[in-house]
Amino acid sequence: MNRLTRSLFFLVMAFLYIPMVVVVLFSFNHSLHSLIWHGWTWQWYSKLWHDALLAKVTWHSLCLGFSAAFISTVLGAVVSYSLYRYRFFGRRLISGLLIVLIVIPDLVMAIALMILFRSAHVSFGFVTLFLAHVSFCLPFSVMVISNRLSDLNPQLLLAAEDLGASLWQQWWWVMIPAMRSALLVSALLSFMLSFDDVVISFFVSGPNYVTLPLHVYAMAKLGANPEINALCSLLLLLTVAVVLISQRLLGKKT
Amino acid sequence: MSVSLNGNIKEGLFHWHGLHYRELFQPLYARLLWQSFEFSFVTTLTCVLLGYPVALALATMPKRWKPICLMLLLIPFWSSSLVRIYALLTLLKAKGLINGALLYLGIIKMPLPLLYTKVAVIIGQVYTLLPFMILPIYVLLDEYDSSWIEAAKDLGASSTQLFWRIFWPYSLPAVGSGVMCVFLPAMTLFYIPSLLGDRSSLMLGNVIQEQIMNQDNWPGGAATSLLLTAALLVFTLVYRALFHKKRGGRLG
Amino acid sequence: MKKSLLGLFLLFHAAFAMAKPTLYVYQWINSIPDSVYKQFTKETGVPVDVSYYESNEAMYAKLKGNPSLAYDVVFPSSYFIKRMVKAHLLDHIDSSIMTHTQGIYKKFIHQPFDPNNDYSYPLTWGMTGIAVNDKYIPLSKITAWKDLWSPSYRHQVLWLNDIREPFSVALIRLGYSVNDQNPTHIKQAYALLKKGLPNVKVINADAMESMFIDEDVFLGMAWSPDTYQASQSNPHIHFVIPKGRYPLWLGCMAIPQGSRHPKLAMTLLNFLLRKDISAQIITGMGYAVTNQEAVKSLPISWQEKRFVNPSKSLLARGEIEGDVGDKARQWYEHYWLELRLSV
Repeated sequence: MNRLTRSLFFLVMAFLYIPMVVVVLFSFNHSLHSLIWHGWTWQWYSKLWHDALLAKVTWHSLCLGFSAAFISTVLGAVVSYSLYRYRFFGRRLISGLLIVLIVIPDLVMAIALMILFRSAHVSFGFVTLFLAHVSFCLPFSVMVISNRLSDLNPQLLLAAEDLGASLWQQWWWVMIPAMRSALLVSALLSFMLSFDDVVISFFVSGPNYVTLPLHVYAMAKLGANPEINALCSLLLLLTVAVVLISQRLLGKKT
Repeated sequence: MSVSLNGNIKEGLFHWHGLHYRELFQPLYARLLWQSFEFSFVTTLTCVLLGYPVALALATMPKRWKPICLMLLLIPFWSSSLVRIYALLTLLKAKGLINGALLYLGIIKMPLPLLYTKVAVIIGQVYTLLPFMILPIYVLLDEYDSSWIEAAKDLGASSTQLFWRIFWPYSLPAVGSGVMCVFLPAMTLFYIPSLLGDRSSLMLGNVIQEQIMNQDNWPGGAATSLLLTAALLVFTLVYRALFHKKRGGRLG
Repeated sequence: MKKSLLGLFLLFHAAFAMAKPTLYVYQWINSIPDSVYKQFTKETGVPVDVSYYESNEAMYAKLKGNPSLAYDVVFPSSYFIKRMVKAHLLDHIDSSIMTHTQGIYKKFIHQPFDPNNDYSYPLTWGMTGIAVNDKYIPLSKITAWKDLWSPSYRHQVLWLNDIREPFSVALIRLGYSVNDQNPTHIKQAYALLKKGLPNVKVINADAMESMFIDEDVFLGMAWSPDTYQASQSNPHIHFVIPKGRYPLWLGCMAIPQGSRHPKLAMTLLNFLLRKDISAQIITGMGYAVTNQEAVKSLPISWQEKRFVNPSKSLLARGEIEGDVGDKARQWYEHYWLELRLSV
C-alpha cells in the first residue's frame, strides 16, 4: 500500500506541476502561436516590462494588496486581542461569523458586497475593492493572530498591568513583540489573498481601477499567448517566494 | 460584513414577490442546478479518490522528505488558481503539449478535442481544488499516533483492515471538510467553465455572472446566489450532523 | 489608526487628483490600435487612457451601474445606440465639430436608430460571415448559412456570443429582416437556432480569434476583422461571405453622459474619421472603416480585399443591425438565455 500511495503521490505532483512548468518554459519560446520550440527569447518579458497598462494594473494590485494587508492585520490584531482578553456578549457569535466568512464561497460574498455597495451608492473603484479585500482578509488575519495569542500566557498582560503599564505600553511592549511573527504571517497571507483574488474583485471593481488578476483574466479569455505565459510565470515565481518566506517565518516560531 | 450578508438576504426577500424566484423554479434552472451538482460531485469524488492516498503518503513519509513534499503541495495551494487554469489551457489545446506529444508519437492522426469539453472542466476543477482536499486530510493524518499501527499490527490486522478500521474512520471529519472546500467552490468558480468548457458546461456561478454582468439582472443574480447560500447552509448542516455527532458520541 | 487609514487613502488618491485633462476611452478589445491615440496625443497634447470591454452588454451594464465613471468616448454597436440614448447614457454630439464626415458611405448615416446622427457617428463596420479552416473543411463545402446546420459538423461550430448575431443569421435563413420585431418570427428563429445547437461546440466571442488560430475550432460564425487578424497568423483560415444576405454591423462612436471633456472627446471622434487615421485603423487591425476615402489611399493589396473595399452589390447584400425596441429586445434576451443555458 505504501508503495502504491507513494507512486500516486508523485503522479499527482506531476499532474499539478507539469502545466505550470510548461507555462514557464514556453514563456521563453520564440514563436507566437504554437507550442513548437523556436528557440530562447526574453522578448515576452521585455514586452511586459514596457506594457504601460500592465504597469498600471500591477500598481493597483500592489496598492490594494499592501493597504488591505496592513488594515486587515491591524484590525485582526485588535479583534483577536478583544476576543482573547475580554469575555463579552456576542463573542462566540463574532468568532462564528468569522468562520462563516472563511467557508462562504467567494461568489456569494462578492454578490453580497456588490449589492451592499450598490445600495449604499458607493461608486465602484478603489474604495469598494479595498473594503471588500479587507473583509475577506480579516477572518484569516484573526485566525492567524488568535492562534498565536492562544499560546500566550495571560499572566503576562496582568503582570504588565500590575506594574502600571498603560494600554498603549502593554501593546507596545508585550502584545506586539509576542505577536510579531503572527502579524507578519497575517500580513503576508492577506497580501497573497488580495493579490490573487479574481472572483470578488470581478464584481466590486470599477473599470477605472482594474487589478492584475482581472487583467490576466481578460487576457486569458482572449486565448493563449506567450505574453500571458511570461506574466503567469512571474506570478508563479512570486508565489514560490512568498511560500518560502512564510515557511521560514513559521519555521522560526515553532 | 455580517451586514453584507444581511444585505444579500434582505435584497433577496425584497424581491420575493417579483419574478426572480419564480424564474429559479423554471425547468431551465432546475436542469442547470442539477448539472452544477453533477459536475461538482464528479470533481469532489475524484478529489477524494486522488487526494486521500496522497495525503496518506505525505503523512507517512520519512521525516527527512516531509518538509520538501509539503512545500511542493503548498506552492500550487497558494498560486493563483487563474494562473493555473491558464496553464492547463495551454496544455490541453489542439496545438498543446498533450496533443503535440501524441501526434509526434504517432498515436493519433488528428488532434483530440481536449479543450472546450466537459472533461476539460472536470480536469480544471480537480486541478484547482485538489490541494484543498489534500491539506485538511494531511493535517489530521499527520497527528495520528504511530503506536496505533503497531498495536493493530500486533493484533494481526492486515493493511487493508488497518486502513478501513483505523485510518478511514479517524480521518472522516477531515474528508468532510475537504469535501466542503471542494464541492461549493466547484459550483462557483465561474472562470473554469468559461475558459475551458464547451457551450453547455455551465455552473451556477456562470449563471450568476451572466445575469449580473451581461444582463443587468441584479435581482435575478441575487436570487441565484441566495440559492447558492441555501445550498451552503444545507451542506454545513449535513456536515455537522454527520461528523460532530459521531465525534461527540465516541468521546462520550 | 484613523489617521493611518486616512493617510493611505490620501496617498492612493493623490495620484488621481493630479490628473491633467485626459480622455478616457472605453473600447472593444483589439479594435483601434494604440498608435492612433499616440498620434492624437502628439497632435493635441491630450493623453488618452484606454480600457477595454468584450461585449456591448458588459459595457452597458458598467455604464448604467456606475454613472460616475466619466468615460469620454465609447464604441457601441449600431443596435445599441438607441437603447443607450433612451437610458440617458449618451451625450449630444455637436455636428459643427465633425468636419471629416463627408467620406462616410451614404448607407451608414442617418440610420433609423439615430436619424440625425445626434448621438453617434459610425467609424468602423464589418460583416458577420463564416470562418473556415481549409485544412479540415474544404472551402467549397461552405457557401451558405444553412451549412452551419449540416449534420456533418456535429459539435464543431462556433457561435458568436453576441445576442444579435446568431438571431440575425437565423432570421436571414427564415427570410425575415435582421431587425424583426415580431415575437412569432423571433420565436421561429429561436426554434431554428435550437435545431442547430447540437452542432455548437462553443459560444464565444473574445477567444474566437485564438480558437481559430490554434485550430481548437475550425468552423463558425465570425466577424470579418477578427477573421482577417486570425488569418494573418494562420493562413488556412478564410472568411466566407455566405450567399444571400449577411448581417452588417457598425462600430459607432459616442460620448457618454458624464464625460468631463465632451468638446475634447468630439475632437477625438472627428480625428478618428480623418482619412489617414481611418487608414491606420484598417491596416492596424483589419477593420473596415466608414470613410470610403481611407481605403483608396492604401496600397492595391488592401483595395483588393472585399471586406474593406466592397463592391456595390456586396455592400447592398449587407443588412444593418439596428434597434429593435425594448419589447422585441426582451424576447431576444429571453430566448438567448434559453439557448445559452440549455444543457
